[in-house]
Amino acid sequence: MADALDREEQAALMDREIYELALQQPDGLDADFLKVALPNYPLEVAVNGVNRLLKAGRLELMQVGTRILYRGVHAGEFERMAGLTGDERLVYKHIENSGNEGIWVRTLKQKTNLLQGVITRCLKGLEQKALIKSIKSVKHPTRKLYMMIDISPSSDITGGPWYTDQEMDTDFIEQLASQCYKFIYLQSYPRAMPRGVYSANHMAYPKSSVVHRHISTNGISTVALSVEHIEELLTMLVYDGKIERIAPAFEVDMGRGGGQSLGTKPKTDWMYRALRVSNMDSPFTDIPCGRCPVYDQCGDTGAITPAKCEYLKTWLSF
Amino acid sequence: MKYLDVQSFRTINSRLSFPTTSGDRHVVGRVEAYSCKVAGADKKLYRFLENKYQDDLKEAKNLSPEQSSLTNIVSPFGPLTQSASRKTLFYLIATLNASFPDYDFSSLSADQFTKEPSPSFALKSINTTLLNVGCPTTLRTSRMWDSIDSIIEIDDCDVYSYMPAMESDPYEDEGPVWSFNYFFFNKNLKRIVFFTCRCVSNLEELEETSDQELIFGDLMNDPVKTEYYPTSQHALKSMTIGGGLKF
Repeated sequence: MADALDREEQAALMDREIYELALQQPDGLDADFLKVALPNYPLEVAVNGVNRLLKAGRLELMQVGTRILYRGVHAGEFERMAGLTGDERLVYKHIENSGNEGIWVRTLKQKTNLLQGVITRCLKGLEQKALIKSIKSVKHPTRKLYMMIDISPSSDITGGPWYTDQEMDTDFIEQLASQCYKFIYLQSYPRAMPRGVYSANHMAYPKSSVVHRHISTNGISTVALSVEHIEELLTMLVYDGKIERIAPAFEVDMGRGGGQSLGTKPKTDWMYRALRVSNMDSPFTDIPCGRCPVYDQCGDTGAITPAKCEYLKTWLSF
Repeated sequence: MKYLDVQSFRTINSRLSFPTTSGDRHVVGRVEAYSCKVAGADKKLYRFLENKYQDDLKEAKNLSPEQSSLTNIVSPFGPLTQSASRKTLFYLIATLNASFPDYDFSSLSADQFTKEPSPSFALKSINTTLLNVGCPTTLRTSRMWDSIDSIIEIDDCDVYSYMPAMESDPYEDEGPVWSFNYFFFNKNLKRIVFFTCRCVSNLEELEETSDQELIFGDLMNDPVKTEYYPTSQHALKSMTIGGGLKF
């Protein structure tokens, strides 16, 4: 009788030791670690302890590749998980693992193999316990996504500074883009000469970092913008035909370099220059005669006359 | 919305899954009957939609008459200022939510739905689509429309169709060749029959290979070694084939 109690006390002590060890190892411990750390207990006894702790919820099973690890569950976490059923715990773990990206209900179903009704119930329970929240992504506005209640969704989901409440803030984007354009325009053409341009090797066109500094210091945007955000705006202006990219000068490397793999590309520090659209259409350039290669031979008679002209025919068939 | 389990629908649904005559695609569809009984979650949805409508109305008042065009008042369900039209929109959204449990359609607006000119119009459209793609005899002889009519009395119905934008399509992750979503709404019986169908290509593997992989195939991850030669003579020397050039 005393023997059995003794054994129970011993087992509880050993469990305690294992639990403390696990808490000290944030990445989890495995069976080999236990062997080294607890030389007094035979391995099977220790493994029994581990199983007891797993069942009680004090230890958690993790799989990293092919290795199995045991992680200690801290007191606070234990409290939270204690109130959950096994299914709820499973669902909660998956949602936790999705971090700030959130997880779609369908992915949850595929990963847990639980039925639709079970999942709906678990999600409702977890929501009522204020452990998770449902969010919407701008890329898939109808998908049901869930994430931990205290984490902020990633900018991929919220759309970053360009979206307000799941809607694209076109006014904001327009305003910022025109500010960038004006700034670039002022630096693209010499102020002294109204119709002049800089020479071909002029290198002082603004780079994206310069534009970014200008926008940030001007306080035009209430939200902090990174250089990447500004580059997105500049790319938009390039496709709109308002500005162009100019490659900075680079050294030509004639040495015996190694090859470059297909995937990597060094980031080029482009310069940006505003484009001036020329509206100077004159009748001399409009009519095909202005650009005709056989203008000198054209007359009222002969093989080349306006009546038989191919260029005029195409031009007149608008 | 309360799902109504209809035995004849179960038979129809099992036959609404078939390969197309072209062999490289298959059609998957289902017919579901719902009663417009409002449950707890539905009430929340209704309140959410009503609040959204009130907010939109307030915002529209702040805009000038040109900006707030009549598009947000007229809808395929009738003027949205009437609560009956808003109720119809609510029923359709609730049906979509019930039929696609992985999705939440509460952000939809009335302009993503259209009203079919008549029930027979929708019937003919569905029949043509299914027959063109190789509807099997088991489906043709199943008296599908009779079963649907016994539940919903098609002639008394308003028929609406959901035309989703790509991001709001419940079939977006399958990339279907075509899909349709019809709602047969009988106001008197307070019932909706939802007929949804899609045609999916069997060539799933192709979608997952990127363009780069298709072009470069196995060479994707091997670095292409380029060797530089200071002079072309050196290049000629190393390009010896057989006897080679003597320098």
